Order: sequence, then structure tokens, then C-alpha cells
Amino acid sequence: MSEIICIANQKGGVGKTTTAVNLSASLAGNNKKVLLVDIDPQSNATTSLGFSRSDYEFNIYHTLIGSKKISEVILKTSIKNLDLAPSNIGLVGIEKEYYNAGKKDRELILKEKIKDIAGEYDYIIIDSPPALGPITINALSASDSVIIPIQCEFFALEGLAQLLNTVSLLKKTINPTLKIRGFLPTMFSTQNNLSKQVLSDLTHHFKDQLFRIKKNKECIVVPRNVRIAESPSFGQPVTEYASGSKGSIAYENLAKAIIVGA
Amino acid sequence: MEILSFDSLESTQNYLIDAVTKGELKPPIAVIAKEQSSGVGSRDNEWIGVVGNLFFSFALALETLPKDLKIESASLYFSFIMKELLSRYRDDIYMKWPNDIYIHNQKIGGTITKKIEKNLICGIGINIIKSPNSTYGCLEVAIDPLNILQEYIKELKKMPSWKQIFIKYQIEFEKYKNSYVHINNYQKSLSSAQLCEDGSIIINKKRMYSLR
Ligand SMILES: Nc1ncnc2c1ncn2[C@@H]1O[C@H](COP(=O)(O)OP(=O)(O)OP(=O)(O)O)[C@@H](O)[C@H]1O
Ligand SMILES: [Mg+2]
Repeated sequence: MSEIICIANQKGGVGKTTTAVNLSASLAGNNKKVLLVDIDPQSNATTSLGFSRSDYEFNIYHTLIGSKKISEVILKTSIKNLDLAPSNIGLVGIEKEYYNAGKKDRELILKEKIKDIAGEYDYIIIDSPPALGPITINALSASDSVIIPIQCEFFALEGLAQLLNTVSLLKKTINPTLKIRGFLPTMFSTQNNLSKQVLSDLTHHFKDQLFRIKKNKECIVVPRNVRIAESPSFGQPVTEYASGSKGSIAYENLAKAIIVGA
Repeated sequence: MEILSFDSLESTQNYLIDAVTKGELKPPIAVIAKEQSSGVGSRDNEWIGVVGNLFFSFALALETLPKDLKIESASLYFSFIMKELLSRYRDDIYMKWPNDIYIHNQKIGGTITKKIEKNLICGIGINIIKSPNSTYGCLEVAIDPLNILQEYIKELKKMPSWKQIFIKYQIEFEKYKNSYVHINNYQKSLSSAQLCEDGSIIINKKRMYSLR
């Protein structure tokens, strides 16, 4: 069975997509079969992997409304072992059409659809939108665990209490086995005292839930790194675009920590 | 901020309230006592002083407080800043609604506030070396109380906004939700409580404020 990991934080621009894409690519680089599911109408994960709208006809929206099986929308990427279930702006319609229609088990649509292909991948990574709405609830309900990227900037922890509350509600109801896989500090800059403050706050609250490098127990932190910011416009993960860069190394460490289950 | 240090006071809080009311002392000012005979405290819990524990009160003009801080949330705000400071020494310190500081299910300290005209008087008591009785815990770290007060004043100078503090307090609240709190002498679980932006909580549709 695959392990399904959702990348979530309802705060915008904190590094969810960057984490989803680069973690997926790094896992694939470790010979794991990976499916990246883009479930954000902004479709940034899809474009980050080099796909544009004209490259594919169907997307995750069609799967969610039941007109295509998930296997029919999946695309092979240029990276070995990495497949993508793409998204499209049309996905915004899902809330109106499907969710508000009061359907039964509407939080479990994605989980149901993923079942079909779950055996074919080692990891399924889901990139969610910046909201705690129906789409993110579906993503969390379908997942074994969640990774929460925290941008090392002002008000970094804003909204985190609501996200934790949502996770614990889901645990009490439709997804009892949901776990917080860990918090990932992102866009950390060594020159910035605020970054250090955020990291220290995070360590204080969630010491045991930070990712660590196995051999030296060092906490995994994604630095603010220009290569990471550039890579989406080349349609490549940073691990391909600038392997060996600090950003790339951080995501490779994260992938290793996930694989050993740390 | 000037610090007035006493060997013994009946209560730093009463002393400062009195002095500010009479106009003898003007904010910003802090008062610390090595020992206090009647203590600060809330409910019936007297914070009777043992030498080596920390007792202090400070006065600030309301206009110098963060713009977004409501007076009802002040005790929570000042207590949380103390909790963050103490967590430099131990990492198992947490805060329970509204403003009690805990280690291992035992209260080690708390905060009270009082508005006197255009000033706020805030008193904080922390058991540092010894708990007054077995229901309380203590920090068990060998640091000079005066030193903690000086560090605390440094933190106060940064005067974070209420929002900055509240974001972190919310997380703390979420983490320790399953523990109990005392409200009017009843134990209540916070597991179904909702925390509001001003630090009050709603339990069973009733809104409750920290009255300290
Ligand atoms: N470590 C980093 N260093 C530099 N830039 C970064 C880093 N991580 C992310 N970025 C950039 O920050 C922006 C936001 O990142 P990203 O799109 O991953 O956030 P997001 O949480 O997915 O946003 P949204 O909430 O809109 O989905 C992007 O332009 C991205 O390239
Ligand atoms: Mg995104």
C-alpha cells in the first residue's frame, strides 16, 4: 500500500507546492514510485513540473466529479518514477457543484478515488490549496499523515491552531489514523533574526515533530534559496534544476527522513 | 524601568496599587520582594512567599500598552511573556487558560492585573526553588529572582502586539485542551471550549473572561 501524505497549511505562500514538488521528486530519486496529486485550483504543482494547460485534457476535477478514473488523468513526468495527477482552474467549481449539493460522504470523495491506484505507488503526495475548505478537508481525509510547512516569517504560526484543531476533529471523526508527520520550517534565512525566532518558537511547541537528519539529529530546515524560487519557471524540481544547491539538499534530507520513517 | 527592591512586603501587588493610587509612584515602575507575607494570587490560592521564589508587580500606563491589547486580555498577555521567558530554563513549561503557568500538571505561578485610573498594575508570582505546599509545583532552577525580573523587563520593552502573543497562545490552548481548568471553583474541561480573539472562552454557549 502506498503512504499518502498531504502537504497543508491554509496560510498562502508558505511553501506547500514547493515542498510537494521537491519532496515528490526526491522520493522518486530514491527509487520510490511516487504520485503527486495536485488538488489546488491554482495548479502550481502542475506547472512547476513543466505542464501547461494545452498539454493535458483531463485533470483531477474530472476524477472528483466521477467522469474520469484517476488512472485516466495521471500524466508521466519527465522524472523517472514520478507521476502527476494534474489540476486546473476548473477545480474551483467542485465546491459549488459537488460539495454544496449535500452529497453523502462528501469529505471522502478523494479518498474513494485514490483507492483505485493506491497499490501502484510507494508514496502519494497531495498538494492542497491555501484554505481550510472542502478541498483541503478531502485531502486530509484521504491521507495517512500531513506535513505542515511553516514559513519563517512574521506571524508564521498564524492560523496554525485552527489547522491543528481541524486535524484533531478529523481524527475524532472520519480519519482516526491521521497523523501529523511533521512541521517543516521553510524560507529560513540565517541573516534574519525573525527566522531564528520562528524556529525557536516551533522548537518550543513541537520539538518532537520536526524532521531530523538521521545521523546527526539535526533539524531539517529549508533555507530561503534562489534556486528553489527559479526552478518552477524551468518546469523542474530544484533537485533537477540545481542539484547540490542548499535548497535541493534540504528536500533530499526530507525525503530520506520520510523513507526511514523519522 | 526602575525596580524597587524590598526584603519583605506584605504583597508587592497591594503595595504598588496603594502607591500608584496615592500618586507616590508613577509608571513605569516595578517592585520586587524577597519575601512576602500575604502574597498575590487568585481565587483562594494565596501566593504566600518563600524566600528564593519570585514575587513582583509592575505598573504601566495604559497608553504604553500594545494598541491591540484589550484590558481583559492583559493578564494572559503578561503571563504568556513570562512563560516564554521561563521556557528558556525548562522546556516542559506550559500555560493553562487563562494565565496559570504549569509544569507536570502542577501550577508554578500565575498573574493578576488591576486597572488603577489610567494605569495597569500587574503582579506575577513564580515558585522558583520551593512550592508553598504539595498542590503546587516549582521551577527547580537555581536562578536569582531579580535576574528573572530584569530579563522579563527586557522582554516587556519589545512589547509584542497582542496578535503576536495570541497566535502562540492559541497553539498552547489547542495542545492542552484536554486538561481541566477551575472556573468558580468547578473543574471544567476545555475540550469543547472555543477560544476567542480577546482571550475569553466559550463553553456551553457561555462566554467567560479571565477575571484577573
Ligand atoms: N525555500 C525557498 N526559497 C526561496 N523561495 C521559495 C522557497 N520556498 C518557496 N519559495 C517561493 O515562494 C513562493 C511561494 O511558495 P509556494 O508556491 O510553494 O507556496 P504555497 O504554500 O504552495 O502557496 P499557495 O498557498 O499559494 O499554494 C513561490 O514563488 C516559491 O517559488
Ligand atoms: Mg501552492
